[in-house]
Amino acid sequence: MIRAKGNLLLHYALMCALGFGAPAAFAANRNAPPPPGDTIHAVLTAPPMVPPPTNRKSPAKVVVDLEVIEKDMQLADGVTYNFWTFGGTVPGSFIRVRQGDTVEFTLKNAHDSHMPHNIDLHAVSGQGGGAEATFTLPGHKTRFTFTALNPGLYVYHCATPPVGMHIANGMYGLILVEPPEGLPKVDKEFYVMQGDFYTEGKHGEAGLQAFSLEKAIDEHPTYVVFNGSEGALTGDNALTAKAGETIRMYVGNGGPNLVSSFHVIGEIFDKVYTEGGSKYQENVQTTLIPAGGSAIVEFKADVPGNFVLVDHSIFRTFHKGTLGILKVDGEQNASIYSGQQANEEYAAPAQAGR
Amino acid sequence: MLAVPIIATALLATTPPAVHPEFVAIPAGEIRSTVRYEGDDGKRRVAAYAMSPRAVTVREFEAFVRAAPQWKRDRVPSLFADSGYLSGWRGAGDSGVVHDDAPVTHVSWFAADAYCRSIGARLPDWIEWEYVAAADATHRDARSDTRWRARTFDDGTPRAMDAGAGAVANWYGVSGLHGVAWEWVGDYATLLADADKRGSDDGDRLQFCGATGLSFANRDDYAILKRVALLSAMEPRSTLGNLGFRCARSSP
Repeated sequence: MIRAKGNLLLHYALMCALGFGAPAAFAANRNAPPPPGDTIHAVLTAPPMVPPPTNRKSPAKVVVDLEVIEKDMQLADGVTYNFWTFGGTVPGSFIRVRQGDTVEFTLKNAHDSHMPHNIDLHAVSGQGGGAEATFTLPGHKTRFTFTALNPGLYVYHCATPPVGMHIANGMYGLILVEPPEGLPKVDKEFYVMQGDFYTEGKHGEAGLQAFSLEKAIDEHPTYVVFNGSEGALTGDNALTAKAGETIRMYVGNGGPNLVSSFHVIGEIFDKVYTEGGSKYQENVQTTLIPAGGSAIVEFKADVPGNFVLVDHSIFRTFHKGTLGILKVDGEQNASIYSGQQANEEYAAPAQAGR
Repeated sequence: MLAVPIIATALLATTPPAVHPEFVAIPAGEIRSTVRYEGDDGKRRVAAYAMSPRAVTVREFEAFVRAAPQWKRDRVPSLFADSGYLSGWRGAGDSGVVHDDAPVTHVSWFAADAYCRSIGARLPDWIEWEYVAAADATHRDARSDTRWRARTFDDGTPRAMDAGAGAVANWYGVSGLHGVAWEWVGDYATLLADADKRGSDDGDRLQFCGATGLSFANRDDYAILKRVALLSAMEPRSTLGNLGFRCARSSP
């Protein structure tokens, strides 16, 4: 007991030195002066939905509550996986704030979680992106506060060891920090995030599939999907718009391993805020999205049709799942796209020797 | 006022004494620990000791709190157990659990330590636990078997390999080390210190990206990485619904 007691004291000493687990450290946060302006509870949305624009002229204190939930969900038709999630979905809840906002962030870890989790938000300037402040046991909640210094579209993810496994199990999402003037108004906004998954069974093998560490280390995913499952953006789940509408997609890539060559078949991106930053490139066919990175793409749905979201590393689309549909309804516009105008045989070339 | 202790004594008298399993002798040996200690390669010597072949059960812990009522949830100081301590029990001294051979959970390190001392035992050290948990049914160290190792990733969940009814004892004759509940170890609090702080110049390695490569001798032993991450998050008063314990005894 004396030996164990000594260890405990050492443990506490370290905890205090490291600034976590120590009541004093939390008390300091509690006593921080409230920022000017209103306190707002952030609207969080499940993919593919995006919260409404902040529409604010000034910074505010924004309260974000996010809960980690481990749950079995569909990965593909007949295939399930024990996902670890932020908010019960893969990708996790979309968070939208404004540059200069003071964000009071609470991370909850559901009582039935099997292990601790935390969150590293790439939008945070500070140690671990919040990870050291949010190491959270099942049934506990932790809180920290940050100021959104830089505008942009940022990935967040779990950073608890083994980090790769937490990300591979779906623990990522996006947080948008709007610039003070906001983003230009568009008709439709969508939230799409790619991720690669590694299962013991082959692609399509039915039932609950276990995580394969070997495939993850080899970077040979069994599934590469948008929004956490094959079929998340097809059939009844397809994204919809009307011809003539302007569309903005907040596109992330959780990885853990692959980079995405994001492309929408039959459309040209009028603007791409490359890597989720402040400058945009114009007239882009395919944009590269790093693992742990993002892009904002904008285009006008000029004509009706089914426009296909893909990772143009194209075997992934046909064999691993990166396929989504944007279904655009409306009047055909033959001046932009005629559709098929002819389908007929043509004369074969004269053959030699006849 | 006097009636309460009298009733308690009467209850104690009618409660059959808990039958503790015979401890299993664990022979001395060497293990390359997944947790790296102060710049070494993880190779550790383990002295011979004895370990309980299974986790402490709800029934056993119920008998303990009746005999030592200071460990009942309505009596225990909050310094020694958090608000989740024995939550889910029907009463402070009554689990109300029908299948009370299940491992007890929602117990703090302090309570687990007190329980083991009450039977003349102690909590196993991490290295003792890791040494025995490396075995499967037929191999003393099964960790090079990637299929077996993959199944240990589910430790602490209902899908754990030892959670099912058909689970068998390992090479040492010990059961349930890879079960639905994680297990306390006596020196759990040193895991943070050894793995994080002293092995690096800026400390706190475990919390962040890139941490695992620096802190662990075997960086793809994910079951151990997860277990250490969990234990390092605990305070000695913390409790979890999937954290129990077993006892050990030093060899004379």
